[in-house]
Amino acid sequence: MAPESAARGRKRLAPGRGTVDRMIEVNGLTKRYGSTTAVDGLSFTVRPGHVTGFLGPNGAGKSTTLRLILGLDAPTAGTAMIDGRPFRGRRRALRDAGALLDATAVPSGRSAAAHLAALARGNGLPASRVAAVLEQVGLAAVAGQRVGDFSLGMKQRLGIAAAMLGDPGVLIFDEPVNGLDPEGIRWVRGLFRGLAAEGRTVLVSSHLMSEMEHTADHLIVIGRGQLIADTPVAAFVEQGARSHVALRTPSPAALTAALAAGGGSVTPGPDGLLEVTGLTAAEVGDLALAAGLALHELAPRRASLEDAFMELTADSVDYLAGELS
Amino acid sequence: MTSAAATPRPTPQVTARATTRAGDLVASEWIKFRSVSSTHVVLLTAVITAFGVGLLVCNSDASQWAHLPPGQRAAIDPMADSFVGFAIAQLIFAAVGVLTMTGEYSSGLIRTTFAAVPARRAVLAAKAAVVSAVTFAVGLVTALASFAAGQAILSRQHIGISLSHPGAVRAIIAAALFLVAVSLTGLALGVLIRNAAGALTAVVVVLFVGPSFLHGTSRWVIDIANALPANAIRRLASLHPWPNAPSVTEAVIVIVIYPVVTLAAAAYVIHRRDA
Repeated sequence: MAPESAARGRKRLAPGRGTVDRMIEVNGLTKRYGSTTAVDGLSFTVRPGHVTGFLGPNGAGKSTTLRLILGLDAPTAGTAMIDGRPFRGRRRALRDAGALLDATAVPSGRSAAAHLAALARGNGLPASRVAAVLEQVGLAAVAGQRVGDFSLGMKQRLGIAAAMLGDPGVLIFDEPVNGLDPEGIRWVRGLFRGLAAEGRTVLVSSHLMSEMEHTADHLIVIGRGQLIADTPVAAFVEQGARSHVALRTPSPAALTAALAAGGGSVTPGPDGLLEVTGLTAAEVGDLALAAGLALHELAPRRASLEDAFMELTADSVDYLAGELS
Repeated sequence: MTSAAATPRPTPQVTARATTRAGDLVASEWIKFRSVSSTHVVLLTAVITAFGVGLLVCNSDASQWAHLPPGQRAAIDPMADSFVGFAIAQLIFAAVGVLTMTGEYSSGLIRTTFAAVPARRAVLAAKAAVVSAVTFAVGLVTALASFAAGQAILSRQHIGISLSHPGAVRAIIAAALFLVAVSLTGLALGVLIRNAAGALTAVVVVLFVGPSFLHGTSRWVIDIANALPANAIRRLASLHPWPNAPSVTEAVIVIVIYPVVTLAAAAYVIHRRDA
């Protein structure tokens, strides 16, 4: 531990920061705007070494939470810490955490290089970092062009470059995939995984469940400002929508009875299929053989993250709709 | 915790440079200021306005001098003639201050700025330093040029004054410092109002609308008029003070108090408000 810490340079050797280094800790976080509660008693911890997906329907409070973590907004109650202390008041924050909050929030009259140079200089970072991150996000060739002329995808890349400028241990990206083309999406997934593999904390928000399935190891799901799930991706799928086994048989009635007797629950699926929950595909096959019934098709079906998300957030979304009506 | 200890740690590729933090922030704001081409256009417009209007007024007075009766000749203040353009250009300099701030609010860039440097008052101080330095440098050069060119024209009628004339150097420095005060007030109003149109309206009310309504001889009208920046700079740039004009000290206090009060309010608000 000690040699590792020493190798990581001066700034992370501050006393008392070993265990919370590179962690985002949110505790009882609440933000009210008048009578509206955007974030409601949220508590979670984001750890290094993983890509953590921050999910929720539109209006769930994701962006507000990220602003609170970064000290841009002040919480009504609770705390948000990075490296064990609030973000507010730091002078050279880019070394601790980098963030892409809104790709369209750019200085349209300035060049990409000048925009990044100003950020780098303000944090005492060498000018060589500007060229390095522009190269890393693939914008080196357009470094001198006005940011106002960039496409949304290029602005996302510029925002990602700005977040990486200080080589920080914590990276926060709010909806980074919007506007990226398929090649860009593939690139950004690899980038996030690479940053996490280097031991950094990577928090990525999205309202697109399918996107997180390919990017995140861990999920924090919120709805109406409250925590719905804080779990590894695989566990989230299990917990949300149960997996099932799909089968086709010439004698559905007899097989349904046999599987029910074996502890399964059978429901008719689309297109003449039967869907079995509570049994594995192997158990279904064994029970059919024991009953002497033919199977024409047998396949385990894994619920998608999308299904799991819809199921878990249905309550919070319904509640919101009910409240408004 | 075990997972955190088990994961490899990033190798730092970035080492701190040994410069002062305040210097870094000022350098950062200077990069922002000079890297937007519209800033250059606005400043150039301000210079041309300040210099050009003064030149026109001096030329007009010089060409009419021969035909003027003695009473009207006495009303001509050769030094004040050189700085008439500053009364118009001040609005453009105020806009430079306003836009330095509101540009970041309107684009949303302010959040990127404050996430990178969460010490917001330090950012405000750095912006104020850059705006002050640029405005003072541009203002001083423009004031010197306006004075030199205007007095050269007036000297054709032998009514021009030289730099060694009492009050001339003071007027030139005051004109530059007045522009600094105006642009800093604009910067502070940009923080307080966060919107260019609103902040510029506030500037126009204080600099132009207020003075234009305050004509009269009752004490309170004179007091209010003398508390406005327009009378203060007019006093410092004139050879002959008019009746009820503020003293030089009063004028200097008025010029300083606007940016000080508004910047103090801005520093209070910028720290407390959600970005």
